[in-house]
Amino acid sequence: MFEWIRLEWRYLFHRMTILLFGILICFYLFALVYSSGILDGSSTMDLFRISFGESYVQEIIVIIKFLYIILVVFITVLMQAEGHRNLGKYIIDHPKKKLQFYLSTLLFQFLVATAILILFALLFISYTKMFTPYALPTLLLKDYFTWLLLEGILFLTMTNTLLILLPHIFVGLLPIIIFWVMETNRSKEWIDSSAFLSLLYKYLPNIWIENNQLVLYGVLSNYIFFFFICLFFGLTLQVRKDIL
Amino acid sequence: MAISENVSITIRDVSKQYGWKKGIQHINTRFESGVLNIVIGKNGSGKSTLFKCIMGLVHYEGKIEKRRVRIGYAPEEYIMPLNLTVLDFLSSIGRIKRYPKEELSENVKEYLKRFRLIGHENRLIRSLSHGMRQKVNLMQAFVFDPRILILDEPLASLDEDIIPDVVEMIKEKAKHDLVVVSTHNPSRFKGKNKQLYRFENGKLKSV
Repeated sequence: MFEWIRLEWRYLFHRMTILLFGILICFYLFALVYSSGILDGSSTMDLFRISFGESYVQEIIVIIKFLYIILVVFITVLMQAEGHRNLGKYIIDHPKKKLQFYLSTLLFQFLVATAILILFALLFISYTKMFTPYALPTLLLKDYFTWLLLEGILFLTMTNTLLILLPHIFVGLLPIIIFWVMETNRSKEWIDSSAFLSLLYKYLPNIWIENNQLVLYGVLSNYIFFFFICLFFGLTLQVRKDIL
Repeated sequence: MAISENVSITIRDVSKQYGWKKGIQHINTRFESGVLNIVIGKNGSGKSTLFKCIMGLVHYEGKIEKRRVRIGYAPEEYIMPLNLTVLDFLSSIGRIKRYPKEELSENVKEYLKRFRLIGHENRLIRSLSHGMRQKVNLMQAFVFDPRILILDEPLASLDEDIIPDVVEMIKEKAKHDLVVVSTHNPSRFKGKNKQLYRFENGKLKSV
């Protein structure tokens, strides 16, 4: 398994993807600097440390969520590309190994998604502690990032299944659109008034912070159910699918 | 001198259809080690499909019995990960096939020499010509010393001057292990120790 994951690593992280990840990290760092208000000077930051701090945390957690979900979907699209599927020709020598191949790919994606989120969180916390006078709601953020990890893993599993079913790069846009729809309509009134939004929010988590409290519309058991449904369909389709 | 145990692949009533297209139909045969098994047939006759069935890459009806030994396979359509170096790719495949690290490194050096790729080992696969990629495709099947070797059109895209060497490597391997090769040029594989199979419209016949 370790060798498989190493091969996946070498497949995913090449010059082009490293450059793209680098650009997104730079954008994220710029967002941290800009949102913190450091450009206004430390005395202004000190003076409005509570109001500035609250809006800074709100802005950054939304940026992290967007970047994280986009990266998760991007990784999945790359890992379901034809070049990666063809790697199976060199590895699989028994029908059972198809399952192993899919699971190792999925596990690798989980690991990369987790590492990305940890990196974002660490950069956020370190920057805030080093360069700003703002207090971070540590416990709240810990819960937020835990739920966000689950959100990413669900989007990842769903995107994998969709791409196995319809192997086209544009299918990768569908989870982004779903995420966008959920994010732009994230208020209790909107969700309650639309059956479609209610359904989305029932099975896909979308966490946000409001009045210093976590807001989550669905329940964990539904998310776990949806995760296993996606996983089951993904595995079944993958095993039955021909590698030509 | 150690005598290697015989290995075989038994194919019982294997059929594969791609949607409406005929693939292969009711194939019954047995490939044995010690002889070079050569599968011939026109394009689309079913050679590659049979190999994909043996490797478990496609879903098929029927039964294929083979021992759990290391299997090397060089597909005809070799879309390799373009951003890996030749060395990375060969080492990874060898390690995934659970071949010991030291011996693998020795084998990689040996086959780089035999396939005349010395000096290209640190190049990205993306930067190689078609002929070179075919060499890497074949090398990855040889480097971990498989007991079963399946090569789909191994001579395609190769330079004329290396073909006799590759044929020799394949024949040498076939003396002790199970080797199945598909080709349009069976005359390239001279010698008596071979068994020919012909594919016609999805059906296999011993020649």
